[in-house]
Amino acid sequence: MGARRGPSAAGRARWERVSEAPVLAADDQEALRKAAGDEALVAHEPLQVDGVPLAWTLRPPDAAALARALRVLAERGIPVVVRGGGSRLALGNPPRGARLLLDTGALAGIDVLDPAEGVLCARAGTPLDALRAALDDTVWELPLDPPGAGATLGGVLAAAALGPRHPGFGRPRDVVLGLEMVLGDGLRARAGGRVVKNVTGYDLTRLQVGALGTLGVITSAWLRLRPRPARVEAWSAELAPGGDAWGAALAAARLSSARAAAVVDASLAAALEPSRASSTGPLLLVELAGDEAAVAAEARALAQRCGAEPASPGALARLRALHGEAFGPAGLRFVLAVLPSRLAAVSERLERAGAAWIAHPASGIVIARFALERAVDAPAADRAWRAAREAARAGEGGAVLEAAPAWAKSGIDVFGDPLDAAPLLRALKQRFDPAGVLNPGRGPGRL
Amino acid sequence: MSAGARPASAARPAPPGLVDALCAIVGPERCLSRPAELVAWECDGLTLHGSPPAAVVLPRDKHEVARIVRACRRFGTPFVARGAGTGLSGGAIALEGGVVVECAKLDRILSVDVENRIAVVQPGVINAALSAAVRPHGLFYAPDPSSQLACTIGGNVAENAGGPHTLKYGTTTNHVLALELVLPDGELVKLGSATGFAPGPDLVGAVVGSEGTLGIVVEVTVRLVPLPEATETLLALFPDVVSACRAVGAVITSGLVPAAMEIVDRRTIEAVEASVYAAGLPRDAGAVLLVELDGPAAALPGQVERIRALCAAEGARVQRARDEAERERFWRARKGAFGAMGRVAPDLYVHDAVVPRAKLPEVLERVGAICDRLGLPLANVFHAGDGNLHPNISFDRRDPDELARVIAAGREILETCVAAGGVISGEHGIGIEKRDYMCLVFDESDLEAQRRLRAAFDPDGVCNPGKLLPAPRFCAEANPKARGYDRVPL
Repeated sequence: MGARRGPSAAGRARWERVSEAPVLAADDQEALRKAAGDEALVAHEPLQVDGVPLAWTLRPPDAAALARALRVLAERGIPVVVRGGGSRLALGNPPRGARLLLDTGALAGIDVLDPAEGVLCARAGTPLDALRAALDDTVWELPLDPPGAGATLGGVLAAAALGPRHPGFGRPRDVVLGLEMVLGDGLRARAGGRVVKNVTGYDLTRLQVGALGTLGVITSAWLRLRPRPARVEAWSAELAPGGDAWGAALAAARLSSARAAAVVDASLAAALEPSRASSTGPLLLVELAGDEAAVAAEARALAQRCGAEPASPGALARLRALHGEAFGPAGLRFVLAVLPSRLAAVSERLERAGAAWIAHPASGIVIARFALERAVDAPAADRAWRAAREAARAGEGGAVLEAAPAWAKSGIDVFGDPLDAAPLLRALKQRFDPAGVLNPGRGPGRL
Repeated sequence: MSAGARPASAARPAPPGLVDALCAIVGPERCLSRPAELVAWECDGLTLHGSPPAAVVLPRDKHEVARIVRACRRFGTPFVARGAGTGLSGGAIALEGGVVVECAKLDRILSVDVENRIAVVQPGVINAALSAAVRPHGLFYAPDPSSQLACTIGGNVAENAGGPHTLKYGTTTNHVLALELVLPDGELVKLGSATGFAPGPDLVGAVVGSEGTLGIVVEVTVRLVPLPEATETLLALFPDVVSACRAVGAVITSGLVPAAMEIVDRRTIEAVEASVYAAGLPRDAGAVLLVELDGPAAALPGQVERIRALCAAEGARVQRARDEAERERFWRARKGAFGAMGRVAPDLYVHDAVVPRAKLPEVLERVGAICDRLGLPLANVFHAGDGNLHPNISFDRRDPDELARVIAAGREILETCVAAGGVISGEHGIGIEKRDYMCLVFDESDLEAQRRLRAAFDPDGVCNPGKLLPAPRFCAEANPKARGYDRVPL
């Protein structure tokens, strides 16, 4: 897998050449139109996915058409890149041999919203904003808050995308009750259900969450909603250098009503809290959400223990924006998952390497951004890659290169070291996508 | 555990040389193969099904497990891991003359990381023992199945075990961060990460709840949870089950998330009060709702008042436990139910299904009607907050007619739950008990997708064969109109 090497010079040269979009033969076009409908296949100016230009998009109108289309794609061996809202297309290894985009955007809409039960079922292409709007008049909130405009339900689940409220909301895998999916050969299957507790059959729902569309295309999902909190307050505090700053941050993040709690380094502090533009150390932002009495009591504790003050309006939205921000001319963004007790060591290493970082003490999730001076700068990308991985090791965890220019991805596996589970992942890929047409090469181990 | 009405399947002798090979790995004292020694492993908590294993081995470490699996492969013999044998769906019995890999001696807590709230344990560690071990650090292990004094973490992982407190804390799958597994080819593999975040498909999620069919779990990394600052337990006496269920619905939509909401019906109350578990409940109560709240001390008094009001609005009298002794007495009404029901008849069939919470009243009514029509005594104890029903039917397996009616009622109950948008198991698993009912929920393509998962781990079908999935085409033949939970309109 060559994951230990940095971006190679040869790979870089490949990306620098302007490659032409792959053509789609006339009979392939016809077969796909027959399967998914005449309007479903559209030619367009090439869109780049990790440097691979794609000039065709297939947008099936419903799950049945998507299944028929996948049968055709599998029979004809036409690899695709699966796209939801496009907010996470930067995640993954470069696609291998992809010839078109398979867009789930037309699979949109909420099929069931059950306010008595606190569950909903929506199709994969439904934007999260539409789900939130539908919940406005209910006592429920959507427990997913990844950054990125236009993010869709299916895409967010496939990418297991996290937002700043993940400490309160839980991992995306734990929000999904049931899924409908189409496997790589067009087999349509359902797993899980609409009820909140279920051990009926294998848990294919969790298998698909995070699989990045390499084992199937999610077409709809049942979600467990979360009661809307009665009271929400955001507080911020400068973390005093030295002492047990991280211990204080961890204690704050573990307050029972902490829905979000993040520490940002000094370079991001002003962007998060403009009123603290002069701050010289890391800044802690905590969002308390829940019961009136619990929030009030825990807010008092925060003020006393950390000297926290009410955050300025919009702080959490700014934190979310920082999470997913594109920056540059070129930059690398990593997501590290480390043990919370090691955050001091992890942040210190990132800081030394010149990274800006956002750390979530409750979960051990750290976003690390490395800005590059020039549009193409392989040695700098290589240094960032090594530094992020070294920081993750210091935290007894791992690092994923979440967003990077295409040239910076060649020669590496963006998901990190070869996995113990690689043979299992290969076996799963072979069974769930026997023709290898779903996002080939994009997953861990470049499967 | 007399054979009774259980279909007696003859012991299939181990292939020549297998027992010697197993003895060479673990020593003769940890390898059992004489028929008299194997009786205790013929069945698990579901005593209606039994099958004698060819041999039972008791490994002491993961490398022995790997060698046992490789030996079984050489002799073409299937194998099944077993924890405490408390499972209720026949998941831990060895079909087809398989070898039972008994995990009782893999019972060490390998590490506890208090700061990061993580423990690494072997699969034979008893559920309650883990909570007891970490309690001095202010932590506990949240999933608490009723059998927690006996059942093991490995068995909990296999079944994705729940318990009364899953409403707030979730089931086993929400608490397992990483696993080490002996794959069906004998290779050791580590899945997941102690951080709880591993890139790619969620293989830990796929293995938890797979009923021992994807490999043998030899190490489990679990999340520990802080002991709540305060706990409040309320007991609400309702005129009938329907009003108790309505109160549960009102609590759910109020935004409160109690740690537990359990309902005990009138027949169970009568049985409990006539037994050593007597909790001092009025025998004329139509249903008892037990509500447990936990969290920051500042928040609980207000929540108690809100629950009290919501229950009172449905005609309930509400009592609040004033001390630990009273809290234990309240829980006795719930936890003593199975023991108390045991006094009523020689056998007890404990069912397990889940329906959307709002459907509980109508489903319970239909379940009652099914049992009345078939002349079977029914008592209900259930996790109302999760919509997880446990209809209990008392019977005597020596009466073949009664046994046949019990089996018929079981199928009708499951059909009723599926028709209400539910599923056929919430925490007991499919195993052999409900294998052929899977087509009530899933169609042939859904099952084909599940078979692919199993085949990716176990292409030769040697790991706990005959469980969880019906034979291919069984469903199409048995039930051509199989349909599942509310189909999403296309």
